[in-house]
Amino acid sequence: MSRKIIQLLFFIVQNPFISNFMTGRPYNGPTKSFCAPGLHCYSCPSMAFGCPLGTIQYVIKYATMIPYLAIGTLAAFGSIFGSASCAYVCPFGFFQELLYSISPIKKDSAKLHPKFRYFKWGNLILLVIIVPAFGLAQGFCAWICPAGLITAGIPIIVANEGLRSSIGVTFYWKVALTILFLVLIFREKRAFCRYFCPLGLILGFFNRISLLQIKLNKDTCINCHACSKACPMGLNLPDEINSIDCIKCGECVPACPPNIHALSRKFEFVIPKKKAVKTD
Amino acid sequence: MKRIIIVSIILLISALFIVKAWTHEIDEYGTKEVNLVEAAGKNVCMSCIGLSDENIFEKIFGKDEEDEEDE
Repeated sequence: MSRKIIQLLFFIVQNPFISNFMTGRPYNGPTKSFCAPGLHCYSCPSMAFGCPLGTIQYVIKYATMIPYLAIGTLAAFGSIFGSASCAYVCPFGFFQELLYSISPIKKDSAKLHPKFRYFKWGNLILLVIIVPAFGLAQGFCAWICPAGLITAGIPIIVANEGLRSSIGVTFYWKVALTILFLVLIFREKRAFCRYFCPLGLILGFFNRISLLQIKLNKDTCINCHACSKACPMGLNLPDEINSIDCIKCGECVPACPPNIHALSRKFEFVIPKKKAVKTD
Repeated sequence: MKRIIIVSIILLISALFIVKAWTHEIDEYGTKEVNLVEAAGKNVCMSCIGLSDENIFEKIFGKDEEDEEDE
């Protein structure tokens, strides 16, 4: 089954309450006690699950404790699949890929400098952990998250006239930032995931040890970098296979020339021993 | 080293974390972490949707005395 179909299925499973957009009220059933491993807003009217990033910030801010539920959920998914849920489950990742596919300004070779990836670390350490820990705000949700504005903020304000008087500086800041993100998303595939998403970073911590692994056969690889051109995260492949920024989507595997077959993706239960270097 | 052993240990710890979130009471009123998650998820989060203009400078540095007098 193609990745797009799986993404669509997960999108439907996570957003079954589309009619709630008419009332502008979020679904409040029992599934909201569970986190789905993707970036979405738990205030989005159609969303059936809780947002792991929002949950982490909320629990740290209001209870000043370790967010066991979100961390446990992400660790469970991460240890088995690494950050593959970014490629298959994340609704915002799917949304970005759809926008890029219809973009008139897309450029496959477009890449910001790799140092821009440090924004993810800043978002995670500063806005998801430190700012909520000091009780200041849910930093990432409040000031950065474009998923929150697009899927919750704007639809809820459109549906609830009474909330429009609450629009202030933060809202305009998020609108401006979201426009900037959208320009980047139209230009680069998965631009938000590449440089800004702290959730992908958390899941990426498990990439080296997860059961799902992208395997490179160094004996057959001819370093043609066809895999690198196919990578939606703009990684320098094959060097960055299974790196913290890899989303294990597997797009690199079929990109490898058919007579080479240097790449494969499979569940690995043993960490292979490093080959001894031959010395004469 | 078998990868499956490392992953099994992580899965076990994850399961303990999730069980703790569902069973461990975090205050004298019997609130559990999952209750916080539900509270967050079942309401419109003003902060998430960008409608909460939290005054960060006020939180960090406190209110100016002049402002308090004005109030």
